[in-house]
Amino acid sequence: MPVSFQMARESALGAIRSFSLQGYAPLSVILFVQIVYLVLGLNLGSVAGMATAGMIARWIAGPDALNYPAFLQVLPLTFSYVESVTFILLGAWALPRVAATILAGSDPALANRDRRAARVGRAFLPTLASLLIAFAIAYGWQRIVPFVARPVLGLFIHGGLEMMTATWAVSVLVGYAITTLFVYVPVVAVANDIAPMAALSRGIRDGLSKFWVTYPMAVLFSLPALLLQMTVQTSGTFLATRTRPENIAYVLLGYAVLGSVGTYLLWSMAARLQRASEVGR
Amino acid sequence: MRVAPMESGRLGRANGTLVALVALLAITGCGDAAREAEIYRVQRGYWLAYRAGQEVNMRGIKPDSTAILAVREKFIAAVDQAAPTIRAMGPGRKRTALDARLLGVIGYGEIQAGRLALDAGRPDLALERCRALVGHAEGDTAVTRQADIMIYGALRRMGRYDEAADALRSMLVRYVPRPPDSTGTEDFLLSIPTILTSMRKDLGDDEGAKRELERGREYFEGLLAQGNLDPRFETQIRLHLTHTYLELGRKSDALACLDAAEATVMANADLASSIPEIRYTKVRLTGLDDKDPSASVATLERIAFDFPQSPVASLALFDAAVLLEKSGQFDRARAGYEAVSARYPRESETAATALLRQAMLEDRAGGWDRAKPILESIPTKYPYSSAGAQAPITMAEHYQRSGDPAGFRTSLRRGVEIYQRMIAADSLAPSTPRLRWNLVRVYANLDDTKGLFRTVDAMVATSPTSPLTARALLVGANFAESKKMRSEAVVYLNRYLEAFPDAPAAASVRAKLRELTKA
Repeated sequence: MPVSFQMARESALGAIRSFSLQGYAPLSVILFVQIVYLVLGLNLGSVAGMATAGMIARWIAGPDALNYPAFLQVLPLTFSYVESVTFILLGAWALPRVAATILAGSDPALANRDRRAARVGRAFLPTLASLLIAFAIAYGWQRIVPFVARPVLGLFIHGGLEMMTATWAVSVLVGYAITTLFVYVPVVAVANDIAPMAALSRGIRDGLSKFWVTYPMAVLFSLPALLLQMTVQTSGTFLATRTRPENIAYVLLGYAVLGSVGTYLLWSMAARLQRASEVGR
Repeated sequence: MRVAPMESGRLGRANGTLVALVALLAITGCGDAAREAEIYRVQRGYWLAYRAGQEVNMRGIKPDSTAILAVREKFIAAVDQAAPTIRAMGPGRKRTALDARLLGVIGYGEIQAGRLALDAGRPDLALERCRALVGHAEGDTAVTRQADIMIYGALRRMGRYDEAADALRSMLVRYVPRPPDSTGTEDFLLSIPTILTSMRKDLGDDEGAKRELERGREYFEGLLAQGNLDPRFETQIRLHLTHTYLELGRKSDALACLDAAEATVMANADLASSIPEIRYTKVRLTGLDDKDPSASVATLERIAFDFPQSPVASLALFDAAVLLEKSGQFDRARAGYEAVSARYPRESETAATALLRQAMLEDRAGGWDRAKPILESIPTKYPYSSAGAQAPITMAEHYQRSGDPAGFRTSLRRGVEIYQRMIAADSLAPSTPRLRWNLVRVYANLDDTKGLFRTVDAMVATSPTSPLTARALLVGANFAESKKMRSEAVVYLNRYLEAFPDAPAAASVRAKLRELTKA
């Protein structure tokens, strides 16, 4: 059954209405690791903070990043790496579990604990592969944004904060489009007991076919987090110099929490939409 | 077969303990994390202190010493976090790169705290901590150099000029001057002899200034004798030596030294930036005594025209105006002085002197209406310049010449206001004895006994060994005698003999004292 925007809207509302901590629990592991990084970063003056968050910052941004307030000024960058790594590695484990919890109500095979564990286990590889591919494409896109987007935007906007915001918006919106293409891989992998490569290809095909209804939802669910991300990425220096450098970490903390909830809602909606389209088929 | 499980349990526990220990080591102190964290904490403290300073400045009024010292306390608190580590390092121990970095960070905070202490009028605080810093930060580093300069500044502010000179001079012994970097910036060490000479001159100590010049000459000659110097470095040293010779009155040595510098510059294209200074110095050496100065004037004006951004451009223009004035071309000279103050208002000493001379020329040409506002503007525009201190006296001299006692007294009273304000701005600056000396002269002309005695007493208290204080004591004694205040005159003469027993005037002072005490 072809999906409609109405179905997507119903799925999205269903995801919001039926939000449960039990369903969200797998993603909380990713959030926990990200919060630990930020808390350690806020305590870089402690040996534990320096040996962990400091070491990561040095690895990503060089030894100068270990100075105060330089560490907090580059925190949006280092956190984006931590976020990506945790999302790829732990997301490959967590996302199939989120999808399985949603689909368990309609799929008797997933209601059985052992069979569900087996399906979720098999979904790890295709999910990991999809997340790696999405990250690689998004990374490549980030690298070419200055050469592709800026000249075009330059025709309409003349530098300053407006240019920075517009470049950031284009960069993020295209990044979300890339992610949307791979949203259905863990859902398909859990819903169908199929081989990893088949799950990957079918997931991408579903992602393409449902793109125009999934993409707006993906952006909508992430909007609160995106606003905070925009604040630190376009006004990080302002936050550091005019308020307190630590505020960058607090804003990132809010971003991580809202982003994690948005991620849950997106995959919960995707699982519901997938189920609805399968029922129609 | 129950042993095996027990063994394996113990092994498991042992492995677990080992893993926990390794993890603990990795987190707590293994590697450089502990020292890096310490540096981070100190830097965070600086940030808080910096923000506190910003808040103080944002209040819109000049912060008082309490507010400045509160900001300083924050820097000190940040620095003191690392005090145990610094103490543990101790002098003479081998240091890692991170130890050196921590010392650099600590040094930065101490220097900031020192600056704030000086701003708050508490040089004693800066002195104490900077001396401790020099003790810890061994070798020739930016931190030790800055701390030494801070020690000099603090001692100077405390009026301990001899100790200040010793502190600065010790830098010449402990540090080796470095050739200029890619920007051509000169090593601070090369300017130390000039600073010391200026300080002695400000104190009115001409003998001391000459001693400093001789020491500077020996220092520069010693550096040149080392040989194999970087051409840019050699040029800088030779230019300093040329000026030293010139001030010592050794014109032929100065000329020979300048010729050598010129030869080095001509042989190296990248030394072109030194050409204006060499050309200017050469004109000063060869042309300023000429009866017909037109060639020298043309050369000086050419230097200012060709190299308007050079530090010597304003001096060249000023010297050209002086030559024109000496040769009686007053209109051109006046225009020259005006050009100096208009084009180079930031060269405070030169611009202020140019304004003063312009005003004097205007007065001489009968244009007192034009001269008066110029003279009145100098202490306002350049409150710490020699010309700023001279302007009120010049005005008083004009009224005295023109037989205007009311104008004379008004300008003297204005002079008192200006000098008192300048002294209050920095009561222990090296220029203060000269300002107080001017004040003594003004009070004497105003017949103000209280003011004169108060100023002489202040000179005795703040600059007891200054030759200007010696002159002030004599003026005080003469003034007291003229007012039939014999006991005050005796006190001043006794003080003179205590402080300057070997001065040329000591014999006549003793005779005067005998005369006063006999009577």
